[in-house]
Amino acid sequence: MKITLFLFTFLFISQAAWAQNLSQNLEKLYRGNPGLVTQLNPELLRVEAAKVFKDPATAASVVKALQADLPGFMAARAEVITKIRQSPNTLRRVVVSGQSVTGMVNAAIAAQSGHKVDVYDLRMTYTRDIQWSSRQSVLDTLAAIDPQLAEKYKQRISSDLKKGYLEIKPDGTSKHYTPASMESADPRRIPQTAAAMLDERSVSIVQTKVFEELLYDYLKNHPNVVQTKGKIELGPIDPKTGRHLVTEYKDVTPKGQKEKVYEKIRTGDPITVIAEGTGSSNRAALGIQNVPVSPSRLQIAGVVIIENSGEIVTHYRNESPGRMVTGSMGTEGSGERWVVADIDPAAVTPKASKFGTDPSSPEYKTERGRLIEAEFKRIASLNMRMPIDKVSDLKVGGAIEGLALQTFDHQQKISNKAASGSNVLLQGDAVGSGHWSVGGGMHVGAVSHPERFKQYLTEVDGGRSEKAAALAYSSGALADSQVWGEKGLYYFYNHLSHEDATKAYRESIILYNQGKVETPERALELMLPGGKASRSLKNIRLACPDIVKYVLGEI
Amino acid sequence: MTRLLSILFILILTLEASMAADVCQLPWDKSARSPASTNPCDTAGELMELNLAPRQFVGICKQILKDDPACKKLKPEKKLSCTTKADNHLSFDLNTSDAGSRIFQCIKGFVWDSMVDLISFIGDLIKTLVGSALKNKAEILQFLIDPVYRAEVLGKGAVKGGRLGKAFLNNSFAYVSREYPRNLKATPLDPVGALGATLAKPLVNFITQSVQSMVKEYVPQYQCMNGAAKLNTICKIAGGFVMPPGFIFSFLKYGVKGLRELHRSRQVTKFIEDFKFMNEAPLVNPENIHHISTLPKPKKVQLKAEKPIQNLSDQELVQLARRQQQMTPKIEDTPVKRLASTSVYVTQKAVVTMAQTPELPIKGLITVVVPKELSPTFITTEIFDDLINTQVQNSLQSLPSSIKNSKTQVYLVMKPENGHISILSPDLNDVQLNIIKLALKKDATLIQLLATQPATKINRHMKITFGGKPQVQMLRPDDDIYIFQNVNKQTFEPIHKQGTQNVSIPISIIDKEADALIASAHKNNLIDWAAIEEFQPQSYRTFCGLASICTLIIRENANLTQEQLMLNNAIIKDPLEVVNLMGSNPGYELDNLVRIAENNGKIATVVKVTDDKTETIELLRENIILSLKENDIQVITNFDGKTLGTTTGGHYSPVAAYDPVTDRALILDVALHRNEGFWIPIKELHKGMKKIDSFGKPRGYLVINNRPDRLPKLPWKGFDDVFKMPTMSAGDALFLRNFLKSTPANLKTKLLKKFQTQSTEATLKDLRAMKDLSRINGACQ
Repeated sequence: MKITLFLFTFLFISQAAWAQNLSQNLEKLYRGNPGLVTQLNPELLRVEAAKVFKDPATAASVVKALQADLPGFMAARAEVITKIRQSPNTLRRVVVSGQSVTGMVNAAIAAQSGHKVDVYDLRMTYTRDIQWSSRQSVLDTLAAIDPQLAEKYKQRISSDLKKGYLEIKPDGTSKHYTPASMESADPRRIPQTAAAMLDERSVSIVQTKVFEELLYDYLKNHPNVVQTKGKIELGPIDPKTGRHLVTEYKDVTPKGQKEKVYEKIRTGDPITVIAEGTGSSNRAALGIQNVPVSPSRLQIAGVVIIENSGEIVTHYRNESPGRMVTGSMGTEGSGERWVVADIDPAAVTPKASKFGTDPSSPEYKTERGRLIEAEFKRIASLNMRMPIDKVSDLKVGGAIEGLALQTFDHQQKISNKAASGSNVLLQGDAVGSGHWSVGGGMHVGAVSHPERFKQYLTEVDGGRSEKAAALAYSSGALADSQVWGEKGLYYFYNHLSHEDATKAYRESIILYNQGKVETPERALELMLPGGKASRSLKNIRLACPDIVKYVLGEI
Repeated sequence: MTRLLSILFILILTLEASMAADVCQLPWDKSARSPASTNPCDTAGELMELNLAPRQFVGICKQILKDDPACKKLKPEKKLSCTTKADNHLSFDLNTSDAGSRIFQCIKGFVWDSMVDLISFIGDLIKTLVGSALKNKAEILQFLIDPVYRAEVLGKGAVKGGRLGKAFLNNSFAYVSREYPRNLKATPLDPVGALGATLAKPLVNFITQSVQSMVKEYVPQYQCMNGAAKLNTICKIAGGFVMPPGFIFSFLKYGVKGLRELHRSRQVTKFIEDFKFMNEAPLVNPENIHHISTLPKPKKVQLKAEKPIQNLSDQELVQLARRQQQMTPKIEDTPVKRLASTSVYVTQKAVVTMAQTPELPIKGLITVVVPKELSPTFITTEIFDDLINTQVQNSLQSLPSSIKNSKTQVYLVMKPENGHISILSPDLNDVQLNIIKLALKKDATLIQLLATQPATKINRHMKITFGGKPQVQMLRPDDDIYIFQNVNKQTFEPIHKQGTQNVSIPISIIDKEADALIASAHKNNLIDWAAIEEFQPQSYRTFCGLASICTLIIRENANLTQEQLMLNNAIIKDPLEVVNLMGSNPGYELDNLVRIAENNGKIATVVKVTDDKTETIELLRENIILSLKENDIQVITNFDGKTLGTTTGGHYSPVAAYDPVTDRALILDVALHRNEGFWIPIKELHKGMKKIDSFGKPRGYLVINNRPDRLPKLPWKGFDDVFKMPTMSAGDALFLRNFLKSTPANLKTKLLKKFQTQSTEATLKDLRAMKDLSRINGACQ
């Protein structure tokens, strides 16, 4: 009896001591390297923890705790995070430009690591009507930041893919994939590369603006974050520190005035995350090239006002210019179905004989608007398998809430680097863009690039070379965007196989990096001379007489 | 669908067979020809029918020209005019009550045979579609006529068949539910007979309209066609009624797979949507009403004539106006007489107004509600007239009395689009009021010149006479009406009285002047009789290129048709392209035509015309002469018809003769339904070739031949000329020179040929590729 009691007491005490131990260890770990706060990949954590503890056994015990009891680990982590926040010594400044999903996820990662974060954007409201399919890794990434944030995402933002995923092929046959629902969050399994991330299946649908609002509110209530309506400007690299000078500005434009007025807040050299999208102005200011890696295709995106949710449909259409694709999905309760598609420019061009050719004339504009809407509805009706007459009666809207439908030219792009100096990091579409049909855009920005950012922070916070960390970040982030582009190139050609598309993409990037072509797009033109109609990839590494044969069409 | 198509084809084949049977005595049917006629000079038609080898035929033609002045009027090219002779058995008036019975006599055996097929087919179709839900004939009958029962059955069983099949069924149901009770009322004791009558009507309508259409539209061409082309014409006409011709051709080429592919295509979606559109009767587009205020004002246009205008007869003037202004009336005696009787001169303004009328914005404004149950398949001209009459009458009731009492006549055009009635609206009054208001404001009567429209399109014209109770009169498609806006003698001087300069215009081969030209060409041995003999009119709107190259290719393969040429050529990889080439597509690019010619074993060389230098005009002349001297070489011109003064747009046609005296070439216009062959000065022809085509590329001409030793002359003589291309930069030229140093001679020659035969833009594109590839692969120079 005594022995039993003794044993029980011993177990109880050792359990409590073990918990006590974990807290102490985590505090030591996070003070030693704040960048590890959001790092929950067991393998990476084991290596980094060993460096901090200088003792593989302690590191192993921390990892063991993580593997054995995730909720307990997260609870201990939450306690430590609060403690670290109160100690000003560990604070590092991070500036994020761009308050979209990508920018905010990165800001949250930095803020949770105990850094002082300033987020800048010229807009503070969210009106993008975009919806996207979410993979499991988005939830896991949020859980790595804060389990409560992940819980909110799962409960309120992400809507189940009840009807699953339907792929309608050009020949009319279709393939249905069984719906998979989102599992509970587990930050330990976040894919470390975009290639691994893109292999995951979509599990839910998300309305961007609602997700953005969630993240916005999270940052607003985070003690380490200051959100400012304003912008940043990048200065030259300071040769002593290797860091760019960054000037932060607040937008103080009086109400009603069109011309913007900025007030300078400060100039410094914080870690700066540029999440400004494809047309990033700061990237341009850095002189980083952003080059096309696909032909351009006219597309249309918008919403059909209808409650039609719980499925993702990819519809391949064989129409006059060739194979085209429409994607659509609806988030439960949104009352909107998001539709995005390739379109034939001829279908939305008013008849020249009747409406002239001046795009600025009101008649032309009205007619074009009418054609765009009609085409959009036609495509949407085919995709949703609804009769056109039913869809014709429905209201439609553009990609931005309250605006009309617009067409846009879609082209994949890639930057030649994703970091500048040792403190400026590009994120999301600013690094590169791919085709929406891959479903990777939001994920590269919200999962893969943030993972690279965590590694950068780990390196920097671990006291290692900032320059080396930035270079590693750059190549990692570029690789992530490239994988997305590789998968997306297929959608720009009517007959090309996935394998050939991937090969063409890689080859074009190599030739571009070697300085042999002006843009990867040009290399693609040479490899796929038939344009959209190209059926197979042509070898452009040729001997000299072969070049003539190539031009003669004999190769 | 397969079954439907097979039956369709049986119908078509039977139709062809019955057309050729003795009952109809078609002039091209040898068995019907009078055995007494042995003299080849009796008629041009007789001459054409002699079963002779080309060489013999040409021999006779030459003999006729040489020896028998009495036969001159029968020279072979007369064939090209293909006017229907007065004694032609097919020229009976189809609009008289007699017509139906005559056609019926002609095809009655076929009708009854097909009826049996059709009825059992519909039964089968329904069975297939609703599975085993229908057990006996009574249920099938009830299914056909009772919408409630039908909905119930369809709800139960899985409906098979594609959307098109369903659309067909729905339309059939709609038709039967409407017509069957009506017929049953007439013969209440004979329900089966009533069903028979119900089903017979669309079939008879279909056949009647096919024959009508063929007779009216295609007889002139038909006489000039060989057997396969005739079959395809009928196939085309039938296709126009039942489904787009692309379906039939795609089916021919790819079978059911082709149909399935097409089924997903946009064209088909549109086709199906048209069906729906019929039932939806959307409102008229308010923008169209707005367009009325932009009614084009008649503008003065100078007519060009080669001889003093005073010497031209009215008829010749109309001919001129027709050619130069792309007008479409027939050149018959009737309109001229009418013109004279209404004391209206053929004035410049009047002529232009006439020409522009089909483009007036009133087109498409008359709106008619088509009852939901009525499908376009079953709308006949009678039903159409009926609909319009009733609805227009109703709308006129509500007009203000001021308009009702005005003594005005309004002519309106109802022009359905896409072969269906697609101009629909329940609201007729506003639109009509606008037209009428405009007419009154302008103190004018709207003008409509009735063009010859295919009967496959229900294109009806209506006259409303105001003054008291408005009268509505439906006009027959044949009625020629010439009423001019604001026309009076003071403001519109007759063209006779105005001086005009002598300019070159095309001379039609049926004009008197053509006699001298052909004699001159013959004298100089610059006439290609074989080309004239093998001439094929284009058998489809987009087939001018194919018809043109047929003139040479057909010499080795007499059974080859343009459709086969299209289906067999390698550029078609996708069934959808068939539809494109048949319909919306503007036709063949010059480069594609080269590929087709090459696939048929010909050497094809393109000469693009990008400038109007004397050398390039001389080159064209030389190549034409070369082609006429050699039997195996043919020049196919690619020109803009409007520039030449004909009624076509971008167009291909072969060259068959050249007259060195007047420097004119004879173009055998393959668009025989629009123009006869014509003589055109080389300079003008060259001008027409310089126009950019609808693909944005320069036009030019194609030389196809069997003689590698007699290649045509090309604008560039060697690489030295390539370097002189005006768009080539010094850097490009230097690069090319260096690059060619390391290029083997055979490849160099091939490259030169490519550069010579393609457009400058394409050459520059190739050069850029060569440069980039050199950079990618290291220095090649």
